[in-house]
Amino acid sequence: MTAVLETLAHAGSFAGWVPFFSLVIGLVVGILVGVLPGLGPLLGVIMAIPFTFHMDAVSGVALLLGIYQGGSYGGAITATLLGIPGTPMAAATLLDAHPMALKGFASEAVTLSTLGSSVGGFLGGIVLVLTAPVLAKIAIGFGPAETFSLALLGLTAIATLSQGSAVKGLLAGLIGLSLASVGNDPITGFTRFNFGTTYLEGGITFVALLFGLFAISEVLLQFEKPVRAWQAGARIGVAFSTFKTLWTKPIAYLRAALVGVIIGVIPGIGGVTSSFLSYKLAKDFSKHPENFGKGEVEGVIASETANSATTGGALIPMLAIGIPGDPIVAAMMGGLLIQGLTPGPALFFTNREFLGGIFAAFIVGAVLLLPIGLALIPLFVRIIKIPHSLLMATVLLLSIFGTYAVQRQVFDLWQLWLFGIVGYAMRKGGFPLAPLIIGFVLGPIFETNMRRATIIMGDDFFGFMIGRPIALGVMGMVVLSLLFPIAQNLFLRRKGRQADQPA
Amino acid sequence: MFTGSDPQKPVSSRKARDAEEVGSPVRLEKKEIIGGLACLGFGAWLLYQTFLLDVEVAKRVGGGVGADGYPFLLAVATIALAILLTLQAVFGRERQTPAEAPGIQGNEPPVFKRAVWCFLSVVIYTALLLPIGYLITTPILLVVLMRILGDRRWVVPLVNALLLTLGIFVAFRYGVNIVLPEGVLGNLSN
Repeated sequence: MTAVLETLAHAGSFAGWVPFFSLVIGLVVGILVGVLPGLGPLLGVIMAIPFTFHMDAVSGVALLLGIYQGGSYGGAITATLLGIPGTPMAAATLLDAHPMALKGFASEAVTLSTLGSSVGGFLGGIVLVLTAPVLAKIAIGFGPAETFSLALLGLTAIATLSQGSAVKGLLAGLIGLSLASVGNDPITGFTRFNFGTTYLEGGITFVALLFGLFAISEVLLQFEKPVRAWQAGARIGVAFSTFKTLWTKPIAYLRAALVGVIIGVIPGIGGVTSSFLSYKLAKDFSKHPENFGKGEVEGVIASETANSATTGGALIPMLAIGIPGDPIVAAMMGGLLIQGLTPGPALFFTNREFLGGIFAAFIVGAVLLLPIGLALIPLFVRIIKIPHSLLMATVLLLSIFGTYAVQRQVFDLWQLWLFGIVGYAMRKGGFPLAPLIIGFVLGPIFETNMRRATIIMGDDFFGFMIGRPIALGVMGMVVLSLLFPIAQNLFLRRKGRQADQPA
Repeated sequence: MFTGSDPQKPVSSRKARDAEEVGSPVRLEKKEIIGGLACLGFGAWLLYQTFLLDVEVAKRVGGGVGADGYPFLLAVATIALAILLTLQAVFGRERQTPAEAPGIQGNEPPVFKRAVWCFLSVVIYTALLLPIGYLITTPILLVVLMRILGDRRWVVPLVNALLLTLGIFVAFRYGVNIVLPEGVLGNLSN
């Protein structure tokens, strides 16, 4: 508890016009990228990173947090009005919000989505504030073996638990680790893989990698197959009657928030799974499960609250241990590194002012999401009509000059195009991008701690590991995460064989 | 052409022939094999580059995995997984689900040529950006991109391009304090 209070004592670092307006702008931009087709909170965070270079740390991260929170909610607007989730996280929200809108209760559906997002974010923020400092206090005693094991767990979990082939996920992670080894070796300073050019002595430019893999590849894919134009004609207002669900259905909100936070903490799972899992639980516990899928209020509450609570949960391992759990948080971590701040337990002792400000920003952001979201919905409904070509052109220009802004050298732009092609090829080939970016971000931590651990252990591997039960436990979880896809595959095959058998 | 329903007709495609074999179905997923081989190529290239490292310059610090040992381990792991992926593609039964959720796109088929033209346009733009300058090259790029996406008008795209160019210029100049490349305009003012 002391650790929590010591961190919260510095919440005043958020008190100022610049951090506050950065957060507000972040929320507005976040909702916008969530609403607009083909964008989403990840692209929003990535495109905002260059704008944080000249901001103080709290304001810069407040901007990114606002985009994260706003973007996680924004997709619910199009899910409700058009029956198309603006972001994958809103897919579960659609199941009941859209039928509700079709029955003539569009205002109620949108207000409920906004309320659920705000409450979920707030509860997720409370858990973040209460647990991250405590976890950091435990993690500060971790040695190289523990830190390496946790980094390995973060990487294998996101490679094997996220959608698609686990082997492809692991390969993507290995490629990320390999790219991170370009430049100066973290232990000896020896320069590796720079191909004779001074441009690569500091390693691959993180912003070029991020923009290339996610933004440029997305632009190329959308040039290949543009998103369809969306039209929304409904008139939307604020339905204050839905606010009474806060005291008539408190368990629905709390259950969804708990699911969201727990899922958020585990790397590789994310808002999509948390919203569907929460939806399923709500249906299982409901007295009227037959109403789900037809405009059930608890369905909307369950999915949106869980989805937003996940954002708080996902920040816990990143801030407390330095392990990002999803690509959006990995991008934010990159933003922190650029500010000269290294996420991890040491931050809770060397930079409490920054963390206090961030915690305050997160909770204030969750609360502000409600009035901002509701007030701007009519505007967002109009913005959906922006020509798609203009949107893609904007993403492209922001990617180019966001990359150029880092070091003002054209070499970074060539890296941008190279990784754009790599990202495009990976997406066409069904390779996930998230493990690559997390491998790249974790690379220095991974290598440094692995090599230090091997130096300390010498020839006595077993003696070394037996004295480190936390590292052993985490390695056990790594093995489980590697076995999980095999077990899942066997289970699905067995299920398929049983279904094929004649009755 | 084999229809799968008449056992008398000859089989002309390997895929159909494989589907007919009982007990050992082999499904050739071209994309998966290419992906596996590409990763194998990357792993082999990484291994080769690791052997070229001259770590005598930086001796191993007290033992353990050295500056070359770490990328060596990564290369070996990559090669092993790439071989596994390729074998899965050749001998695997189930089709892999897409790693990323599909985009919110229409029903028209993808046009690869558009992506190629987009990429070529931005590469040329990058080459000309510094010598010619942002304010001249960017509106041209934007109009070209909008035409690639099928907008056949001139006035509206040009106006949008100019507004977007100016908007980005202002955002970076006053938001991030970055002066975008001036090119010939900078030379003229000098």
